Amino acid sequence: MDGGSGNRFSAWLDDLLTRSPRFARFASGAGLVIENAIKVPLFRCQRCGECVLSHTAFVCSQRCPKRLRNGACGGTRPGGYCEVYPERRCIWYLIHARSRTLARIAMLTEILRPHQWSLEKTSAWLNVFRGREEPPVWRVRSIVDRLDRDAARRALEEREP
Amino acid sequence: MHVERTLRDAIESGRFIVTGELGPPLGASPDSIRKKASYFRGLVDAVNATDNQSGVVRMSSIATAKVLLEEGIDPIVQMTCRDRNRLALQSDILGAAGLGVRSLLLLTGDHMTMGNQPDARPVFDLDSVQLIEVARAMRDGRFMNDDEIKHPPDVLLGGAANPFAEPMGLRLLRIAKKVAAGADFIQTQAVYDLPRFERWMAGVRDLGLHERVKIIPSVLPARSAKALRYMSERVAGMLVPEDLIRRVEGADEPAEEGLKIACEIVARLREIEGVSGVHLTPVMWEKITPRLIEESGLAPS
Repeated sequence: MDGGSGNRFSAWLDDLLTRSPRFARFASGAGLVIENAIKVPLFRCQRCGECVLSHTAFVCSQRCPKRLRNGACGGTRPGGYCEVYPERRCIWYLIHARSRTLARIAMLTEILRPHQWSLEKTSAWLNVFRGREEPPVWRVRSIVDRLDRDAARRALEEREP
Repeated sequence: MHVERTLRDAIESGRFIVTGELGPPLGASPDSIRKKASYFRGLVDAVNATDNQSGVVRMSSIATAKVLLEEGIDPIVQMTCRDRNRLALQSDILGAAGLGVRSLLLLTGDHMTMGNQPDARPVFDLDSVQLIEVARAMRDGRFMNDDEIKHPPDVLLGGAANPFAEPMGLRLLRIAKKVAAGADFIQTQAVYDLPRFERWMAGVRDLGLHERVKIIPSVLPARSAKALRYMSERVAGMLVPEDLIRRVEGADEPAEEGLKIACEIVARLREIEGVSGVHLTPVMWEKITPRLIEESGLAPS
């Protein structure tokens, strides 16, 4: 959002909520009632307060036991199963598969910034409106742009093991 | 003792890099480190000091690295995101650099459920891609909050890669991100499945990554079929083909067969375009390192 009414509103809202922490907690809690009702059943949202669902093909990356935001760890088992919970698929395996289907592989090449743990269990929607959620991409560093596009795209979309 | 060979020298000279690995002691005495140092001194460019590997508590990797420096060896300090938050990680990077460490290997870390103290609280404040980015920013003079660092740590940054998990596209995405974040070198999981490794390298070359980082695959000589089987089942991310296990099982001298297999793998790896070195990780068999280096033709001329 560039300068304009959007920014003024979030500045006003953030100011209001900062001046009254009790009201901020109430607002977050109230917002969460609706936010959780939608995101938890649909996406098994983990309530991290800093939603990056749109970057991960609408599969919640925080379901990963290591809370990884930038791809799978090296411990995935044969078949794409999780190192820690071998009975289920690695969440990043699902994210990659769905990103392919939705043609959103390019979004996976951005480096997502470290999670702000102070936002944990607060309303992500409220955080966006009050401008607390900084852009999730950390000094945008896309890698596909710097390389030969076709070969790179093909390599990154490879589904075969 | 003076450190004669370093990883930085090897990278800058363009020669084939050879690194080793050492598991820190399970107790407070550094004697085993000093003893094992003799297997590496003068034969390798650097030695990794692992960080509570597989979730088993050992002496810290920075302390181990300090002892290695005293023994004339260039250490690569492994740092995982499993046990430390961003404050401790940044602090440890400063500490390691302050003690003379010049290379770091930055990893996510095997989850504690894989180890012998599974009830420990998982930290994972950062992931390995973010940690590489943080370390690079520190080298450029900035903490995570953009505060200036008066004496920035001067360290080479390494990441790990697993060419053997699936799907291939996701593994390539992962290594590409680590390169984009600022890695100088990449060490991979132990190579037993050469065709699969060659496919991954083809993808790495398609992405042009081999020109931006030094790719250093690992070779793990096994002394018995039991050891191979244990690793295949218990170590995260490792897969050993059944026919290799049977080959070692059926041999008259399994340890010799294991060594022979490792030499064959090294020879094949040297021929692959884009491979810049090998990382020798004889788990619990560090003393085979000099023989392995000699017999696979990696000895310094």
